[in-house]
Amino acid sequence: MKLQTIQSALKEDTGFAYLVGRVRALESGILTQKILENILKTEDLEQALRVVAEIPYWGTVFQGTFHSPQSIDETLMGHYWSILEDFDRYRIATPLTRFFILNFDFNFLKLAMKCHLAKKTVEKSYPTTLDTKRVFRFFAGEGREFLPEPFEDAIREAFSAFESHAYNVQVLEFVLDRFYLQEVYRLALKYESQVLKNWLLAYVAFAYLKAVLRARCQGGKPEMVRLMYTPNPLVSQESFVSLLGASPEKVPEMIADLGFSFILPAESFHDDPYYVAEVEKQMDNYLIRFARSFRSQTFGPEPVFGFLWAKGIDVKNLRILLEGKYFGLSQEALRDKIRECYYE
Amino acid sequence: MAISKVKRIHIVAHHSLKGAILARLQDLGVMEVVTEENPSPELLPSSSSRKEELERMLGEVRYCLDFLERYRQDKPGALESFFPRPVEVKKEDFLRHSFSYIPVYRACLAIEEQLNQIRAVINKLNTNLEFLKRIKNVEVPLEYIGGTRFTFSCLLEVPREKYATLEEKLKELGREWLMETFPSPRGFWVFLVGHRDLEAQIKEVLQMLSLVPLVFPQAFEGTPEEAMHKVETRLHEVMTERELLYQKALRYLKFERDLKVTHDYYSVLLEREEVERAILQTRETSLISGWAQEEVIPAIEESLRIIGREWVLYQRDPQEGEKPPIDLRNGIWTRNFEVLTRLYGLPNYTELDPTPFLSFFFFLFFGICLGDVIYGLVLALLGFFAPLFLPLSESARRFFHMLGWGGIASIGAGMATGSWLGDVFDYLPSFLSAVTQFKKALTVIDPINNPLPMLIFSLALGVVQILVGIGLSFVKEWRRKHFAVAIMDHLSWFVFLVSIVLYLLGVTGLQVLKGVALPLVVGSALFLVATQGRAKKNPIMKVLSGILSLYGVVSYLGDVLSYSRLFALGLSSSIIAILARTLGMLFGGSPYIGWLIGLLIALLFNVFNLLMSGLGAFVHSARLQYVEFFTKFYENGGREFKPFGYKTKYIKLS
Amino acid sequence: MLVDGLVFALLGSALAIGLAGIGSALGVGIAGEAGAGVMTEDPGKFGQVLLLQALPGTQGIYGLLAGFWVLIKLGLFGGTPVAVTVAQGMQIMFACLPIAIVGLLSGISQGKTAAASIGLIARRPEETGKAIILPAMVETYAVLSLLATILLLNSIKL
Repeated sequence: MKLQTIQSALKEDTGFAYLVGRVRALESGILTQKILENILKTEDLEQALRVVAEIPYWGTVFQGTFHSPQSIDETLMGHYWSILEDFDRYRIATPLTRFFILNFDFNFLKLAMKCHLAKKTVEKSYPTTLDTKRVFRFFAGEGREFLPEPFEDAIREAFSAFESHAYNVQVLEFVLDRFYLQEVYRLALKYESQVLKNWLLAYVAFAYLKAVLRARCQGGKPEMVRLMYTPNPLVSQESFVSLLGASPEKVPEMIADLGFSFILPAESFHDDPYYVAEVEKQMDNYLIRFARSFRSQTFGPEPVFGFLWAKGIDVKNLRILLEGKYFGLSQEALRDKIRECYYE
Repeated sequence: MAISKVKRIHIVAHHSLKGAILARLQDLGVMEVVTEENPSPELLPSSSSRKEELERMLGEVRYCLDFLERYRQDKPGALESFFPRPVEVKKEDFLRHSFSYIPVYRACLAIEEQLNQIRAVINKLNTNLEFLKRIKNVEVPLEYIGGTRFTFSCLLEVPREKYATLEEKLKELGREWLMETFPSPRGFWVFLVGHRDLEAQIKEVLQMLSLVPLVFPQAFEGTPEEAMHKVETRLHEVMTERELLYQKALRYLKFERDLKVTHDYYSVLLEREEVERAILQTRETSLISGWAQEEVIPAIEESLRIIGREWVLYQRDPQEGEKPPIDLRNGIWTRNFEVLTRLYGLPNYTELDPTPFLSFFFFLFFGICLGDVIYGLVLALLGFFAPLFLPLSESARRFFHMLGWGGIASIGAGMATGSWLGDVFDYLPSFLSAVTQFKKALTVIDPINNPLPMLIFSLALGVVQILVGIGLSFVKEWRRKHFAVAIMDHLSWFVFLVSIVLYLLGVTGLQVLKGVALPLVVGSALFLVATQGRAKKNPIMKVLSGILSLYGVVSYLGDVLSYSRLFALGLSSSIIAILARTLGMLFGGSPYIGWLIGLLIALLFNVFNLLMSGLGAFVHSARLQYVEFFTKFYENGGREFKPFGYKTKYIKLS
Repeated sequence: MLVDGLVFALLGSALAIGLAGIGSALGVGIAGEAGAGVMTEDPGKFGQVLLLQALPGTQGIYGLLAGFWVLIKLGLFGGTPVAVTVAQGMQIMFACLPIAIVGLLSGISQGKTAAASIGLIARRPEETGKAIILPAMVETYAVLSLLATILLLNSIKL
């Protein structure tokens, strides 16, 4: 019963007390199945936005925005980004928010590189921690410019791969994805919480499977897709490469061998974009079901992480629903696409 | 002193009267309007379209008020900001209010935009100024830096160590270059001019020495000194412009009162819109349903009669399973303590209102916990006189009165325990010794020298409150006609506990009670064993769970012990007061102004003690009510009665 | 005498007050952090949060009570101190241990429970009643330890 052990037990366990308190209050703004049903039942975008405005903490998000897909997308991203930035301010939460912010940063890099190659500027303001001007100066090869660690190497390799693979733009994405997943894996190793570590590893494994399935549909060449791989405990390099080239009948077997048979939908496997979208939905659902166990924890980083992930899924669902309403898609089509919620 | 009886009322009226009826209801402010659940199919919800428009207008007025708040020069004092004085408006004027706020809104927006632009300009000018300050030693006109057809030039900062190397390397390249040097904090500012032919090589040299030419934020004219002067003049100009804009913003302060009235006018209209959404209608009629107190319904009918005859009012009692809203009606004294019930949660409709019991015990406990005459006096004066000087809402006034009554209880407790600002009154100069005698005469228990009676007293209060709690639960079940439950679950425990107390009293004091109490204890224990297991099927289980239920005595024991905090808190506040006096007298011995220092220190400690003990008394007395008292009988789960009326933020209707 | 029974008795009193006070301080602090988090998003919950935050404060009061009891038993308050042998002093010190140790640990535990309850009312404010009961259950053990201390102290013959 040393004072130090008591102190350290307190600090580890209860260091997140403040953030968990905030998360508990914010959780009343997480969407539930009922709210999604209500949005599905509305007839057009106006009504759907009115339903969204009734949800706590979502009331002022869509005020004064145009009702067009780009503007909806921007508003949703801006809302999510503001929450991430808010939590990022707390030192204890920085490892958690880093996972989500990395996603934004790497997406921004992809966008910026494509714009740079097309000799355009990035038109709208994309949320990111990187400074746009500095990134472009780095692209232009200005010597004095430097960027935070993983980005520099990522950009350099991406450009060199771009040149060596006959200027194929997809290659950029693969290389940047590799660096992103490598960072996520490093983050997973650093986490002290075992459940979060496992969650992140699952996320990385799913990312690879997603990439493989997509590449199969789009006819990606193996040597380009291989650029994406980085060593991880769940998906080995041979399985990764062999999945790429295998025939459609063999694929479910191979995925089951890896231990991921639950992500495959009921119908038989075929290389089809709709099938892949279904698989992605199952992956998201698995991750959110995993995260549901975080809800009831009192202290520790898990509730905060679960909340941030749930917010991301909410944003995804709202994007699907609101854009679907804008384009007048049917209820069944939308219901097929939306992910499960953090709170059933 | 109870939950007022409400009735569900439905008003069916012709469309033409709808608006007038709503206006009347809002005026009266006595009916809560709700949407009818399960309406018959001919009834459709009305569609109202003004809501977004009103929300937008309200937002704009709010923006104007925020704007004025930001730029006003006369910030209100601290007291004023906690208790803002409402604007008084007559009701008829309010309802006919019309003020076109749009010119003010547009003007505020314009001023704000200009201020934003000015802020951006000031930032840029400041950055330039910073930059120029760095290179102010350079005496070269800045427009020369760049290049001509045959030459190129740049400005570098060269650290002291590298200067010699630079000169050497450049000398190796040839002679078609020139360096002018000026001092800089870290070395030198070098203005380097070279022939274009040498440009690449010179750049190589610079790179090798890691010297970077300075990049200018914008093109400047003249030497840095001159450019700085120009920037400063411009900055001054811009600042004057900003001042003018601030003055301009202040001119709109004269519209503040009108804006506040407009704000509340639109919010009242908005509320009427929201209520309209709850109204169902058919082709010709509208249905307004809701809840109102029984006594008030004739007044509603009376005022509706003035409007016309095409309406009907139906009323009925609340049905099984419905959850009517709760409106608490309490006496003048108990009303002050209602806030505690509200904090925990309102009672549901079939319960009784705990406020009367809570108020008596809270009053008593607060007094014991604070337990000092002077502190109580201060609190009483604050509580009863502050509302006379400050503009307070009804609930705030009741809160202050509650504090005031707590102060009075504290005066009583202080007199009984002899705590008049600690023991200050024991050290009075001799001509006031009569006061000390008076104080001693009133003292019943001195907790410091003889603590045991005080502790026993607190525990006894605890026993009393717990028994009252069980008694209330008995009454509640009896009134609901659950006679068996009332007797078997509550009366039995009541008797059991009372008999235990009597037995203990008999053991420690009056021997005669022992004979009476013992059979009661045994009898009620057997009764409990027989009845507490009645829910189980198996007869053995019945007996076993009956015996196990006697274990509940331990939880009651824990509850009673919890009341020892009254003793502890009362004692601690007295002791800190004594400490304050001791310290004061200690410092009072210092020469010359010793008495002043002593007085200040004593005062500081006493104020601190008043605040901390006051807070502790409030929180712990409330906690005792919630955790030990309410858990015996209180169910809560009620919903507040929210009548449709005027909800204004800035104004007060007269 | 340098080692007098009074030394141990006062040590016991100090431990009772000090350790139980630490327990309460830590507990109230944890609950306060959670409460501040909830109020960042919803300032209207101040009353309920304050109440829940105050719940772990009991152990400190109990410790103070036990400490005072010792001082009163030693006659230090009334100004007539009783002579205490070393054995008696140590008896008093050990008698104070229940409330000291249990006050420390149950204060921290109750603080964590109170923090969790604050999370409960953040999402479901209508369940304030139940949220208050949960931390109060931890207090049972602090009460029992206070009882033990007082009984032990009472049984010591000075």
